[in-house]
Amino acid sequence: MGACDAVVRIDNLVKRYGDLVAVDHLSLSIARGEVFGLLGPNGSGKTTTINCILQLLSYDHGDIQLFGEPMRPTSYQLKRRIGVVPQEVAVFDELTVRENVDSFCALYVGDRALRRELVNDAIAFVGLEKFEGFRPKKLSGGLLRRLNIACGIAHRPELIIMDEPTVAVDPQSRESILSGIERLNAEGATVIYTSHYMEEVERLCSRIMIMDHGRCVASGTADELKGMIGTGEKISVEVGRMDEGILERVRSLDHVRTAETDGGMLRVQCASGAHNLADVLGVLGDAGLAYGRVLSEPPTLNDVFLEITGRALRDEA
Amino acid sequence: MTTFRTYLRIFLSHRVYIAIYLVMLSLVGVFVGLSANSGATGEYQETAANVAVIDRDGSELSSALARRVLAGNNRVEVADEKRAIQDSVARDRVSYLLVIPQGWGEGLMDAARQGTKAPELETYVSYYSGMGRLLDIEVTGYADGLYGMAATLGGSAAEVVYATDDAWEGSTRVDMVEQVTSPLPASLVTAVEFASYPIFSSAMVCIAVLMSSVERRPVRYRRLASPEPARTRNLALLGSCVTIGLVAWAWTFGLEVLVLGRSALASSPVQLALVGAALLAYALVAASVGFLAGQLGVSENAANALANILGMVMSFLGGAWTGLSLLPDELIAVAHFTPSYWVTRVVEGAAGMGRVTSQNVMPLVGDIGICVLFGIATLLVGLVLGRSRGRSELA
Repeated sequence: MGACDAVVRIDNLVKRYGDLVAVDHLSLSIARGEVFGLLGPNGSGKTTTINCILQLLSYDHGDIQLFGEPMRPTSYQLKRRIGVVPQEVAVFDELTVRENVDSFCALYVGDRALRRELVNDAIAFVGLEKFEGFRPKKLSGGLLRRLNIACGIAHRPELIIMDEPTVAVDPQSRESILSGIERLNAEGATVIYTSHYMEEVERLCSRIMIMDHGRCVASGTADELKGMIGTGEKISVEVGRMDEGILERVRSLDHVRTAETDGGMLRVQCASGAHNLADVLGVLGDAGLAYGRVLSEPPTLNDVFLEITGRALRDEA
Repeated sequence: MTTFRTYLRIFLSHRVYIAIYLVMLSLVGVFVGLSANSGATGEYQETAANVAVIDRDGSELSSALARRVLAGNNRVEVADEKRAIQDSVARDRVSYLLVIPQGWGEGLMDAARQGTKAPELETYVSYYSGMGRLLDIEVTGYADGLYGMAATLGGSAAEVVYATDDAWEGSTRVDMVEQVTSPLPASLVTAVEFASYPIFSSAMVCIAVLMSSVERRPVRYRRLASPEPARTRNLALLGSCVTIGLVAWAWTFGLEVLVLGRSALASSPVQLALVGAALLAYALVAASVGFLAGQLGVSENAANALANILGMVMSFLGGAWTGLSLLPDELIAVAHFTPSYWVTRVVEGAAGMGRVTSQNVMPLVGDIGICVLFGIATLLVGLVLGRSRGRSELA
């Protein structure tokens, strides 16, 4: 990817808080039209990185370019092309839905006629037409999240930074938000998306970076990330009763990490291997065991995340 | 400009605070002003108290004293018994009851001749009104007069009484003295002194609540990420604070002038302008205190509590509740450190300014300047706090 294609380019970014290195020589590049997933445990440096991109934080070392130009705290023309959807709902409680969207859009768009059109579009985009005159306190959690998004995208930014936009919303609202992000991306917006919901990231993001301790520990498409880890598929076979001897033979297979029976189901967790399913079914067939349904689940992004960042609990940093 | 408009929308959305602190309290101020003026007439009217005299002496002097007490008052007969005396005062049948002990007249003459202490009178004063206390002062004064005449002129008791009555008549004549015309109506002065409370509390609460809304962390984050320059943001906030202060001032002062001081617009425009300028300076102080409270991140409840407590303390020390002349010296010394004190000085100075000369006006302008300095100092503290908070918030 050439430098001119990159909407965001970070080279060797370092941000320290005293002795703590929050971002440790991070480099990344995000191409126009991408939905870029930024993953990491709490305190891994995601938010610090975003704050550095937005120039809300100074940093100790490194270079940040947006749309091919150096990003500075006073790069107002660049900031005009960015939309931010913070994790917490950032709206004025005293203003109505329309007034909120208008007041935040006004930070980017001075022309009133154009702004009226943009505000109408943004409200329609998130489906809040019926709630235009409502104040935020009268809105449900899902509607508030949609208002939060409308305030961030009303000025039609080319780059949208979304920090966990679906926290604490019901499945219907989440689906609405996710399909909205897909539409924004289809209309040409580049999106930086952070979330702890792996299925969302897998669905939306064309590329994913996993951060830990301020560093990039893995980066690529979801499939590429899955290929990087040692975990293979989970195999479930309906077996009814099963001898311990057969179970031991399954466990002794090369890529089998664990094998258990549970209510007539054999559950096998494999390491990555080319013929895991065939090997397991081969053992069952050789033993003359009749089996019913067979399920083979490839590793999920959650497996990738846990394998890369570890299973130990993290304290909030 | 759009940010400024957003801030004003937020300010106007807090209608309850505007209604309570600005509208209602300023109306209270107007009523206080109106009540200060009620009952004032240009005529002198004597009042008559219910009095009783028990003269156990029956001398020339005691009779004269009894006449003095009864003159112009309503005589009430009270039996010379302990219980009757107590009941008459306790039940407010009499405002003043004088018991002249036996031998009082002769004792007074002897004491005057010898220069010793005069014999005591027995007096009872009702606590229902101040009339009894005033009568007691008159009686004491008359008795002192008898003593003085006996000591200086000598002669018989009748001569002492004659001389005392003669002197007393001369000294108790009532004359109506025309008051020098005050350039500002007394009701307006009273209301303006009270105005420090609604102006301070309304401006402070509205600004603190506005700032708690716009400086809420997620909203602040979104605004900091926007292309709006910090200077524009800060100017909009400052402009909003000043506007709120101006609204508080214009409403309160305008209402008071409209209801209580229209006559002064034509007759004493300079004095009125000085009072208006002093209140305006005070409104800006209130705005700067609200700004400081906002920078300190006080909650809505805390802002309300602070506005009321500070507003009342300021108004009290400024002499809105009790005249400055009635406050102890220690409190006056403390009051010098409050802007309301300097405002009251201007108001009282303007109210007593007969002629408009630079010698009269300039000291008051100086007092307004001191009030403005309070505002500037508070604003600077708020700006420094805001700057340090802005640095530390995301770092």
